[in-house]
Order: sequence, then C-alpha cells, then structure tokens
Amino acid sequence: MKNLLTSIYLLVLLNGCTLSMYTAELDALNSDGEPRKALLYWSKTDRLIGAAKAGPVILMTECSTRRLSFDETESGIIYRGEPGRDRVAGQNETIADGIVCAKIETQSKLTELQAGELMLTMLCEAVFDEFSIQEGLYTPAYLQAREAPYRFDVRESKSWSVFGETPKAPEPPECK
Amino acid sequence: MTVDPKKPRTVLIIHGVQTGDDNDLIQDQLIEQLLKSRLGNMPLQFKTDLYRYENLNNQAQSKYQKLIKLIAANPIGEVLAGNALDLIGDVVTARLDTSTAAQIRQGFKNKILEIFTEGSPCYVVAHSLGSIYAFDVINELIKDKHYFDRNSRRTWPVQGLITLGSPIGLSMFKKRRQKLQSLGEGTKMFRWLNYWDRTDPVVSGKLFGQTLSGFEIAEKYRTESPDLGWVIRDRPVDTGKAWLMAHVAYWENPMVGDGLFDLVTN
Repeated sequence: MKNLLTSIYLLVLLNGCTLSMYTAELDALNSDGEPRKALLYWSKTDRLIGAAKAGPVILMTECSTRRLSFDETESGIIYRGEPGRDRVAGQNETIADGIVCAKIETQSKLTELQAGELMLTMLCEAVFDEFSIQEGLYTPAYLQAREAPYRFDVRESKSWSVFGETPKAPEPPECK
Repeated sequence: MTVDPKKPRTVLIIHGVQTGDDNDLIQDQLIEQLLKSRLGNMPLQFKTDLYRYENLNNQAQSKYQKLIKLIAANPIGEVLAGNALDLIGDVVTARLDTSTAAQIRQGFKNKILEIFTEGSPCYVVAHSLGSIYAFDVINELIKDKHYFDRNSRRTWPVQGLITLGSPIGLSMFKKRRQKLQSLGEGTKMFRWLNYWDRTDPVVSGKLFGQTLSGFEIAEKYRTESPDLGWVIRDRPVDTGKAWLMAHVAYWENPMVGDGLFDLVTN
C-alpha cells in the first residue's frame, strides 16, 4: 500500500500541472480594408517540477488562410516574416528572412504573458502566389498593419491535470 | 510532370519509432482529424496519406526477435524485451546507413513521386525518426536536376515540411547531415517548420525530459547565402504534457494544426 501511494505521489509530482488557455478577440480591419475578427490564443503549462512551457502565440484573422505564429526570440515575442509570404506594408520589395513583421509589446517572454491588456503591433501584410488558396471570402490577408498597436483584452481559463492535457484552442473565427 | 496548384492537397505523413507493424499505424487519420479541427468553415480539399515502413524494420530485426524469444524466461519478459528491441532497432536502422534504411528512403521517395505524378501539391509531416528520412529524401530530391526549379513551385514534388519531435539536433544524426541542399538562385522559398516540446526527451536526448532552453535545432541549418532557398522555423510548442507523453502529443496539438493549415493553404 505504501509503495502504491509513493508511486502515485511521484507520478503526480512528475506530470501534475496547471494548464492555462489564454484567448482574446478584436474587431478590426484586414490588410484589404475589410472588417474582420482577429483572434489570439496561446497555452501555458505550469508543472509541479520543472520550468513552465508556453506558446507559441497564434493570431488568426477571420477569412484568412494565414495563421501567424509568434515565437520568443532575442527581439521579444515576434512573428518573423518570410520572404515571398510577407512584406512591409506599403512596400513592394520582398523582405529579408526573419524580419520583425509583428510584435507583442507587453512582455518579452512567453511564460510571463498574462491575462489583461496585450498590445500587438502589426508591420507587414501578406504576399501570395498561385499556391495561395483564395476560395470565396478566404484570402491570405491578415490583420492590417498600422502605426498604433492593437489592444487585446486577454482572458485566461485555468484547469488542473494529473497527467497533463492537450490545450483546447478556440475555434477559428467563422468567415461570413 | 508538374504540380497543379488548383488540385486538392495531399498531406503525406512519415511516422517515427514504432512498436507493432504497419497495420497498427493510424497517423494519417490523426493528422486528418487535426487539420479538419482547425479549418473553421473553410472548404479546403485535401487528403492525408501515410508512408508505412514498420514491416521493413521488423523484417530487418526478425533474427534478433527470435533470439529474444530464446533468451526471455517468461512471456512478460519476452513482450518487454521484444518491444525494446523494436524501438531501439528502429533507431539503429536509421542511424547506421543500413540497406533497410536505404529501402525506407527509396520507398518514401517513390511515394512522393507518385503524388507528384498525380499533380497534387504535397506537404510532408514527419514525426520523430521519420524526420531523419524526410530530411534525407527531400534534400536528395532538391539535388536532382529534374525537380525543384527554384522559381517554379510547380516543379517541386514537396511544397513544405513539418517535423514533429525531431531528433535531428542530436549529434548521432547531425554529424551525417551537416548542411541543407541549396535550391540555387531564385525567389521562391521552401518552408520547414520544426515543432518540438521543451520536455520531449527524443528532441533533447535527455533521458528524464529536463526542460530544454534555447531555440536552435533546425535553424542551425540556416546560412547567410540567398541561394539556400529554405525558410526554417523552430517552433517550441506547449503540448500540455511531459516527457514521452509530450513526444506523442503533437498529433492533436492545435498550434501544430494551425501551422499545418497555414502551410497547406499557401
């Protein structure tokens, strides 16, 4: 009996964690000037033993085929632009690989991002080629670049798990 | 022979270290479910396909399996020892340049070229050890002058690569794979997204799954040369699980699903 309890205790210590899902929604314009919902989400796992894990932060825009992934880098939490897929808004030239195309201004570490106000700056717009699907209202256009940062109001939902659990992400915004 | 961007997309999966045989593998169904769960109401036409090679591995290990049956003292010991051999044997097969590894690579290449002949844009998802085979085969195809004209994606048998829990950063695999095949002059970019959980022991090589810090695994292959033609992103992802459970949790992770959606639709 004692061995069984010790095993359970060890199992919980190794795998037990608090899971947080962070989400935020905003009404805005996409780079084509169309009114669209933007939805941001990420997850964080706080383990009983070991460092917390989080991210990446995903930005989805209604009717967009692009899902931007924000990574933690030396320049902060950014979406790194890709040549042939992004360009600095208003410019025709292609960008260098890895250039900052969007940035979360609030924090520089994913595990330190919290619920509440999150400021996000958009600098780029989508570039597409013949392989980019354009079906109905769907295009690659994502949240419009602008000088002032977008302000998202982030909510957190928390749960506890003994063995860990796959994060439950919000549904992509319905395109209508 | 060219790819038609208007045709439905094919997501081709290559699995990693396995126990059992080809009939036990369902990763194509898992990826189909994952992608469908992230489509929203987008009417994306796609199919998934799985390249299975576990029977090839099993054939190569059959004489050792027989030996284990003789050595193992009881049925439980036999099952445990058999599974251990199955897993370790897969790694050894891939690590050493065996004829079985060559057969697996050739089979995977044939599968890609079959999809290419149909004209369907193909996207590869490679898990664990499968990422080593995918890496080798894609680089081999880029080297072949019949494919991968940098300026025409229609000549690309593979449009993009996602690796999940790849051990490519471990020295046992890295030392034989020092650099990527360059696509040459041009503007189009081949995308490689490498997803990994910080506690995945297959990625870190740390038996007890200690948290890995830093970013560079696949990105170590980046160079300053504009002719390289690869966009590479390491994506540490929170699977919500730890250790070996993290290694098999990528299949259902929504962040991975959104990365796949973004890759396949563009």
